[in-house]
Amino acid sequence: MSMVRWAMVVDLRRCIGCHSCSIACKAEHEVPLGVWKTWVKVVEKGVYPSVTKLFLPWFCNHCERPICNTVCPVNAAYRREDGIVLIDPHRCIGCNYCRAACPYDARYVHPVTGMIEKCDFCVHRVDAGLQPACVETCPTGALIFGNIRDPNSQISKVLSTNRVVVLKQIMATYPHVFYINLDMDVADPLMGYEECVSCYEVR
Amino acid sequence: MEVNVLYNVFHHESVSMLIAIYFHIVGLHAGCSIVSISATLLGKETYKPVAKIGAILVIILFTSSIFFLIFDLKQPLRFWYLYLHFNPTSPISWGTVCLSAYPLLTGLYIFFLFQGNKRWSKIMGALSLPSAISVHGYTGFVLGFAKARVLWNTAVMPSYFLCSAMISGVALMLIVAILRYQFTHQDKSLEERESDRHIIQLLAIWMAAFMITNVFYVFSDITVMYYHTEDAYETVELVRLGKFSFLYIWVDNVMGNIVPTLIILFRRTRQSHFLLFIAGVLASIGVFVMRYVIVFGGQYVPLS
Repeated sequence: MSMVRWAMVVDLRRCIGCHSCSIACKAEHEVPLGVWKTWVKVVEKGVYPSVTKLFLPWFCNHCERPICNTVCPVNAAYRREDGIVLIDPHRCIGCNYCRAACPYDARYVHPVTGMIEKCDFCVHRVDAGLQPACVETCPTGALIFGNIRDPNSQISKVLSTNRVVVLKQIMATYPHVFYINLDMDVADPLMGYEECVSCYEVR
Repeated sequence: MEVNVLYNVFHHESVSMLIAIYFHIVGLHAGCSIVSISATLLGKETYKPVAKIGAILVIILFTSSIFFLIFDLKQPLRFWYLYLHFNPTSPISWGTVCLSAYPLLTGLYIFFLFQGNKRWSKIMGALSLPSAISVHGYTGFVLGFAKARVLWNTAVMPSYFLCSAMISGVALMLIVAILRYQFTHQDKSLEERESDRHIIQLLAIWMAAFMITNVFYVFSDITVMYYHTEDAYETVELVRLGKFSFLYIWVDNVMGNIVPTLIILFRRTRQSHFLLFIAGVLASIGVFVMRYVIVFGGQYVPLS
């Protein structure tokens, strides 16, 4: 087993919804208009005067058992020993199957190159000993990135002292982006969805 | 609790219209192929025209289907990478093997069939039958393995797709057989006319049997989904009552399955070639609409 397993913790108590993570990602990777590697979902919950605004930074979850890798017909999607899920741009045929299978809608087609792309935890920066661009930019320190197999890392300490949840645990992909203080109404893609029938019937 | 999404990102549909059309065409030729081979294997002399009609349709449809598949790729010139890199857990990799074996085996079968070589057409038919089943069966697994989409991720999907392929294939053969009869029956003897009418009746009964099976699959899929997760409940409401309900319930299942089945089940309506022609057209439209609804309905419910 590798001594390194990169992961991310999103401390939603600190997130102010400034979208600087999205912008840093756009700038770092030259992500074209209309597609995103990282974005912040913004949800308004409740009715006046009891109303709150909630934020949910969203990226590839770098799963332990990534379904995108399982279904890729040419093995272009792969997971490194340190847990980062990547796409080999020289091998991808653009069949879109990984996009169809990903439960997090984390992937998109680059409008110019036709390649499938997604968040790669800024692997070029991580390999150079730096933090991902979004983590570096976050003004409130809501994003914590590190090696969860190192007990002295900041992320390990945060994970061991806080209650964390992951998105769509039912998918059994074992995501490695953990959220602190996550409101399940923000995480649920159907909440606030205009045509959601069950939301009105049940809640 | 009142929840309003103020900002979110939705990426475009990952599976496009080209793939929905591909699923339909591959279903058509797989269905034709399975019927043609079954007719040859049964070995009755009266089934010979059925086998030949099916074989000709297979050649035309298979050739066109590949273009849809390749042009859907965002890197179409890299399609041959599928042969270089095999992923045993990916149904597309297995589909590549099936799609490569199928034209070879079925081509030999068609060659021997038109040569009149009974022995070898039967042998090659028996060998190509599994490839004909798998060439459409794999598309059901492609959707079934897409874990994120509840409408696709069901164990019923491969059988459901195979069954609808049989309907569309038989419907196409029925349409061609009726047209062939209409244009050629005046030049034929009474025995030959009787034989052609028998084939049309036979194809119609096969189609009705597959449509009844198909309706059962739809019923079991929809009812089981009501007892599944919230996403599944939402998706099934979408196809039963929501945006896709007209297409899925009325066009696909009522007009495309139930009405043609009733036309075929009643002896009096079954005798009318005009009504059987209508049944074949309705069934073809129904199956295409089913592909469309499954592909786009499956991607309609947001994931983020």
